[in-house]
Amino acid sequence: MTVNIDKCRVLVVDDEPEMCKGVQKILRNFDVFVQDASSRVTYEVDTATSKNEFFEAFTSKNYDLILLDYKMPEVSGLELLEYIVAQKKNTLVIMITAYATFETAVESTKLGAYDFLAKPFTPDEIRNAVKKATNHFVLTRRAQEFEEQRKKLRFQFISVLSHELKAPLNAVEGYLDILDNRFNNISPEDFHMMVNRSKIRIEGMRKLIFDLLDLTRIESGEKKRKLENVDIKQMAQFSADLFAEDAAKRNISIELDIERAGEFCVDKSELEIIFNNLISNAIKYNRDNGRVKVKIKSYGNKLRIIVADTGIGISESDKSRLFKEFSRIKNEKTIHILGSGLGLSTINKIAKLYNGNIKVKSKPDVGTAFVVTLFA
Amino acid sequence: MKKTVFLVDDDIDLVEQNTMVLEEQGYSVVSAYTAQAALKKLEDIKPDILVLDVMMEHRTAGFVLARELGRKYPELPVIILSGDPDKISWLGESEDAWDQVVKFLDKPIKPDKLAKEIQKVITQ
Repeated sequence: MTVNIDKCRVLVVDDEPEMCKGVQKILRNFDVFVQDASSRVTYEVDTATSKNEFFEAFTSKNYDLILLDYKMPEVSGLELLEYIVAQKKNTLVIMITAYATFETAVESTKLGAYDFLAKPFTPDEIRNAVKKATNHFVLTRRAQEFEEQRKKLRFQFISVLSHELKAPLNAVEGYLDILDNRFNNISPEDFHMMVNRSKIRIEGMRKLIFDLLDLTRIESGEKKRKLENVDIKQMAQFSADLFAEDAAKRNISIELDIERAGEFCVDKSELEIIFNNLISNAIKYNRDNGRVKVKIKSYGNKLRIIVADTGIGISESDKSRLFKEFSRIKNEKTIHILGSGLGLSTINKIAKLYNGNIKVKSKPDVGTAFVVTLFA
Repeated sequence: MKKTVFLVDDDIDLVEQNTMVLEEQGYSVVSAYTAQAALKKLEDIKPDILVLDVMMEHRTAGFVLARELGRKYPELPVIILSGDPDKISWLGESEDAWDQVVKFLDKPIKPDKLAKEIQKVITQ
């Protein structure tokens, strides 16, 4: 387990210098382990013995925790508390007072104090109060970091997605513009080429939308999974038939070695996504006159699917990003191949639902084999 | 003599459309679909202008290529096309590489508009 190190910046505000020094000393070698965030927290303690010193410190540094004296000569602790809370710096305040009454505690809490500590206190009492506040601030900090990370990832996902959706629109719009502006000067060949390409791009966009739905459905867990015994052979055959025409156009043979595939307990639609993506990729990224081999074996609670092709292959450096969303390997050989860049990432997510995985073996210009292992 | 425009974009249809319109206007057009292929082609050809897309093999492939062009072909004028509204943020990352970037155009751009922009740069 990795242990994070967090530093808690503390400001002790008290007009008695001895009091400040005392707290500083108690916290100097103190550390707290926050189990839920697996974080070890140490303390950096500053002190302020007057109103001016407080403002100087508070404006120059972001404090996580302030131990604030209720009664200061120039200013009341409650005024400072109000000021601190109004700054919205997520600073926790523990009020310290020699006049501990129920009313002062309620008043402080109402104004936003996190805790309340009565003077005089023992070192253990202050350690406990600080420990309690530390747990709160570390967990809040983690939650904020998590939220920021989530927002960042969402932004990245949406910006790539919008780029992927805009690309086919731009392409189709471009062809329409040319057809519109040059209608009388276009040869029938060019006309057909432009209409055809537009249709292909629209089809690609539709596929992207479907893949995106598959991916989000699986990720969100919104779709009810229906696990049932499925005839694997029949499903593999069905998927191979689905792409038979595409394969035949380029004289690519699809070979099925599925004799050892029996029934297996899966969600049919998930298995369909696996087969369809792997087989269509094996055709798309193959060479003309190439071969696709689908080998499936189920034994016990384990199902292994291997889809191998004789295609362009994947370089070592590209392999690492293959299963990421929208990761398309773009080079001169793949540029004419349309794809959403979501298929493999979706298979990876499905495999995880079965405690399984997807692996790839590939040699550039020789071929690629994807191996998916699922456990029932 | 015909001026040569080098189009570098990973979208084959945009390259096709721009090529059609530019050829119609009397340019000779060369193209590449990746930054890597563009560099390789530049060993053999000497275009008068290069039109570069930003997001190709990866999000900033065009940007990386522009830097390389700055070192290898500092005289070659470059027009950058980008659909990224945030372009300024990464433009600032390497100012020295941008001397030759004569124009920054938003994507999508109509082929006729691009042809006009190219014309302006070439006649300058």
